[in-house]
Amino acid sequence: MKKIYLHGENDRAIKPVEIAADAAYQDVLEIFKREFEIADLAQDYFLFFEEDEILADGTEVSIELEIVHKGHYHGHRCKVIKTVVSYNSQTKEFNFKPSATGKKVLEAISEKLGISPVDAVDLLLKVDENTIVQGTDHIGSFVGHHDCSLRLMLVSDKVVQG
Amino acid sequence: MKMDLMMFEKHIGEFEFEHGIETGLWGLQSEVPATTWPWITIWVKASTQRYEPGKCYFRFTLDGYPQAAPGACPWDITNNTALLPEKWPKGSTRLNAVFNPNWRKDSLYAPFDRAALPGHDGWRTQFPEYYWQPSFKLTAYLQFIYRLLKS
Repeated sequence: MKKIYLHGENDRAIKPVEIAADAAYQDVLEIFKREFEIADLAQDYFLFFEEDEILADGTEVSIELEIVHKGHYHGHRCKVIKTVVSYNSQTKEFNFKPSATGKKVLEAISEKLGISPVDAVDLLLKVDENTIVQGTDHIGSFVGHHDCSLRLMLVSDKVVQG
Repeated sequence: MKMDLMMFEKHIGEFEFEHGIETGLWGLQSEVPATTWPWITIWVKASTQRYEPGKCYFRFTLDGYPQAAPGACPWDITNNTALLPEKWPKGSTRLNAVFNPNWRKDSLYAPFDRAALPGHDGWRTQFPEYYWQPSFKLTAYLQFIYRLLKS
């Protein structure tokens, strides 16, 4: 048996499940639909591995080897999340796989905006004032399939005062 | 089993907490929380520039969790007492605002913390992402502390 973690569309829950050692992607997709209570099994979901990515030149890298023990997989109907990030009154656009983690997204955005790793330590990605994108979140967990896009704010963490 | 302890054990069994352990961000001092409940000692990784030992221990008070906010006190595990103020982590403006022994020597000045909430109703709108709510998990407080200690 293998333990894997499932992430889903527009849902921040991370669901641990056990699967057969020889389970294939299609098996995991079925388990995903059951775990996330997707009523219409005919819906066209794609399964992404956390290490899948879109390179700076737009090349999509999908790793479809055997299911990895303790791996994180994301079921989503969007193949790409168009992400618009606002930072210091400028906006930039990025494309991420739904399975891109908050950590990876923050690193990619910081690099593109020329923010040093030292300065990036004090920055947070937020969906709204109440919601911080944590390093382990998948970006697809904040997005439904209607428009496959997300707006994020890159902001400095606040100083507690008052 | 008490509901607060049951909820704590549920939350530390979830991925977010386990991931912090596996990646060395934090850890439990005791593997059996029931023996010390409602006090649980947890260490959080720190930048050695902020706190030379590289990890800082906290004694969390967790009765009523998660309906009640946690309380965190920087802790000296050798003497089993609150950490002396001169030994508290120091560094960035954000860090010093929260780790402020001039305010209290047994608590953090944070919207997550039960000791700091009274008299700070304005924090509810000023820091909605940090102002403790029963839907929060201790992991959110640990992530907040970790970000400060590496800043």
